[in-house]
Amino acid sequence: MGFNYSGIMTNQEPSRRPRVIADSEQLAKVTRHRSAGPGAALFALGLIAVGVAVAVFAKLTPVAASNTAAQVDLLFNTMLGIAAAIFLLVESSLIYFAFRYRRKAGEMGDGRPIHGSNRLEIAWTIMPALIVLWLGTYSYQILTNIRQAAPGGGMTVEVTGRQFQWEFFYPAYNVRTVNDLRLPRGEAVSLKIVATDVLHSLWVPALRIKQDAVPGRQNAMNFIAEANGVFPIRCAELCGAGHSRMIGSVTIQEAADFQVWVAEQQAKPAADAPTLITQYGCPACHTLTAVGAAGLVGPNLDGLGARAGEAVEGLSAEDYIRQSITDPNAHVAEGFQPGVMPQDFGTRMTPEELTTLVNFLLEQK
Amino acid sequence: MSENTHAAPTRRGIVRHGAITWQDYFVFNTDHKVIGIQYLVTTFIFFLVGGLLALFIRYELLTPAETFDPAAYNSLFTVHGSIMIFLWVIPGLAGFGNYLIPLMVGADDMAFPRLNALSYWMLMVGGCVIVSGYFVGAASSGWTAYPPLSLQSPYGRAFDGQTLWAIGVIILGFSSMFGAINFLVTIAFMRAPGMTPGRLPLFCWAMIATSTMVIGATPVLAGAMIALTLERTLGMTFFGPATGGDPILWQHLFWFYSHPAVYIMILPAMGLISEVLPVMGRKPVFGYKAIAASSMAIAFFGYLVWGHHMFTTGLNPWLQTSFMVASMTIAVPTGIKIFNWLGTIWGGKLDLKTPMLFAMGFVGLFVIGGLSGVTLAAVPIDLHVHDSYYVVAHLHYVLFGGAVTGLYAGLYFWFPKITGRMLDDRLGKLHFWLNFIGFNLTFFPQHWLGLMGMPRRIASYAPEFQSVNILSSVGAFLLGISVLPFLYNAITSWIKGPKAADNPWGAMSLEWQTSSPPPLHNFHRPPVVTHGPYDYGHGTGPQPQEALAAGD
Repeated sequence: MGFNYSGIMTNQEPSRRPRVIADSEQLAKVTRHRSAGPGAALFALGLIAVGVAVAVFAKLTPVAASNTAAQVDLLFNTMLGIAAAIFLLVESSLIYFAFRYRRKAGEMGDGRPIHGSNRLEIAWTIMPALIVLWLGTYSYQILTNIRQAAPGGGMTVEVTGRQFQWEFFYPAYNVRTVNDLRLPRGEAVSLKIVATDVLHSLWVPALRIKQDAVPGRQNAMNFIAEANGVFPIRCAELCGAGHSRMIGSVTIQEAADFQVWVAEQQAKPAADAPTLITQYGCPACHTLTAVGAAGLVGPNLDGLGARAGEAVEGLSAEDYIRQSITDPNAHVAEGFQPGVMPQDFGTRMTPEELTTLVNFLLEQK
Repeated sequence: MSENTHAAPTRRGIVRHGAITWQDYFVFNTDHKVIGIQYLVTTFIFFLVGGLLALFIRYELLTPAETFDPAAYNSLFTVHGSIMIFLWVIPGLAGFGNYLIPLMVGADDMAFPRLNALSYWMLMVGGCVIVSGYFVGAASSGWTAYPPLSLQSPYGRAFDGQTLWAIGVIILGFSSMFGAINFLVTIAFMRAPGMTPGRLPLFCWAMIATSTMVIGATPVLAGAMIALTLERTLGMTFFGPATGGDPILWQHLFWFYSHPAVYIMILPAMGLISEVLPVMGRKPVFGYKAIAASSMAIAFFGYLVWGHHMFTTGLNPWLQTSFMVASMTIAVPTGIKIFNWLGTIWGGKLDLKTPMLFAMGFVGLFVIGGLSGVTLAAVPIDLHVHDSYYVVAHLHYVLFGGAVTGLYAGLYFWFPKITGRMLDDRLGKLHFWLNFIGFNLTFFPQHWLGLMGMPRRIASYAPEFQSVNILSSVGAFLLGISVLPFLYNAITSWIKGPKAADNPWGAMSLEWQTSSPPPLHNFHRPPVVTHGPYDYGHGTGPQPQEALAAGD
């Protein structure tokens, strides 16, 4: 090994070595440059150029469907640009030092006894503090813009998160949908978000907003959508076995088109079974090939009609299916967990809808 | 002064002090060096278990559709996160505290050796309680265990993995607090003559900051866990809204501990590399006081920022703003550390052996996690990327790129001292590069996934994210493979590696001035400290921090 200092020093001249605090001349000597000024200035300019380039050209977010989304992107890109410059400063220093100051084979001895520099300490305390102060102010301003962009009011949609679906209710139109949010472009919207069972979180990446759905309290999410299109809605808060499939979409369309859609919903005749299955979110958990459902959380419903009669002694196939929908914990299929399936379908479905569903499932042989 | 009057290991029943045979490592041993090794080996085994679970997670994410049973997948990442945090990073770093603190301050052992042994065995018990949850239905509500989800009984019984998880975390919390009390008292009252606060190695300063956080914050977590256990088993109400509880209360209590826990996991690792960089860089640490003070500043601000995990819960807007500003402020002391580390190696004579590679790797990787942390502190950005893969990437850059890389630097650096054997440096470098490439390949692309809209904790995802997920999974498998050369190296070197000199790196701090491994009571002669631990560069080569007691 290069060193062997097993000899122990005696207690002499305890204060023989004063701490050395470097002045700028000594620091310059360390780098072995007569004058580090021009090189350092050039390097700093390079870092700033890269930072600005990153801030201007980076495109790391999906389509922005509101004006506040674009502001969030600008804030993010600004921070990304500053981060890129600091990242390059640190990484290039590490790499440069690794090559420049690498100990050659057989080389002994130490670097210079420099214990610090008050000037540098002050510089790299104050500069980050100023950057952070400015970023905090800037972020606060964007936050205020987001809050003021749509300060409540406008069209209200009541959003209910439950395991594992999003229900949207338009009180003004008495229209109810599942996992399918439709909004008119350019109008203020206020989503009133609640949950019935566990925490969920409504995330619309295109709007750059998410808001938790909390049982027992109502949260609001206000915005004005400004781009037509269909954008994904995801549940961002772990909510159980079906969390991955708690997916919806928001369709933003012209106000006239939206009104046409509302009228269609209001005039809609009694839904057929496949529509009901989608509407009540069954595919999030169940597999049913007839409607393209492939969920794995609950029992597979393929061929249910053929075996429902033997599932529970004393229950007809029809009664068993009906009970499994309205009171899912009464008889839990083997290998599955009780308490996962919502227990309020009996109250949320009309008797006609329930009968339609039971008859459809009976036909699955 | 005699050589050491009571140097022989003792045995009283199952209580032992010191180790002669390998069996002495498997009992209630009160020697801090034995306990340190017990901690490091046990936690590394937990790291391997947690890593294996991570590989299953990345296997699931190779395809957009579900491969495993969704509930089983949820328990995979729940147990992965819990093991990595509660059974690897926190206690692994405490293992270094156990081994190093008495040696660094010049003490013959910890202040409370029996409490120290108890804290290790509680770690074992707590770990087994958590892992045994797999036999009764593993916890599946994430390591954050948010109610009401964590109150549901998906297996139809109250005493399931979730309850065992909470009880296990309570036990681990006490283990952690006992350790912290020991560290603080040992540093405060057991220092050798001349070991003034200004001469303490920076690792000790980091452990002072860490221990104050452990003692201040862990009781809040333990309280929350006790409440969760009572609500699950006895039907009391704390968090369940159906019976009048408040699920958000849990988040406040949980993050009041768990954000400080981030600093509990990173400050000791920062302390470890603050030791490695000056020794392997052959230069005094740059800005000793600034690094020590910034540790204390991080510990202070660390208490004021828990709300930044709750920006989307409907937090009061003014609280959002104050938590945002406090969180961003932490970037300042963190930046001070990074620049001082760069200052330390600037103009040094860098010995680029494996410990130095990991220490410099720490600086390079941690800075990425620090920078993404500032973006997450900004409320408008967090409202978009909270609970997305951006957060997964960020936390792994801090906890793997930072804490685990620091742990590896420490393992390579102190292995000769702990075992008396040298590790193979070529295998070490192979490990470093596989680890470095695998890590970045796994986690860097996840920033993009989160920004584009992929939530965390999901088993199935939109097909357009598949190619990047495959990239990430390939990186994870490489990361898994990277452990193999380390394991082979550590095991074979421990058995038959070349004998290590007492001070193979030419370091000055006290632990290097005694034999490798140190004798039972650490020092052959009581040390007297005459100067700081990093006085490199005075022409005569490095000088030990120690001088003899007068008259020897």
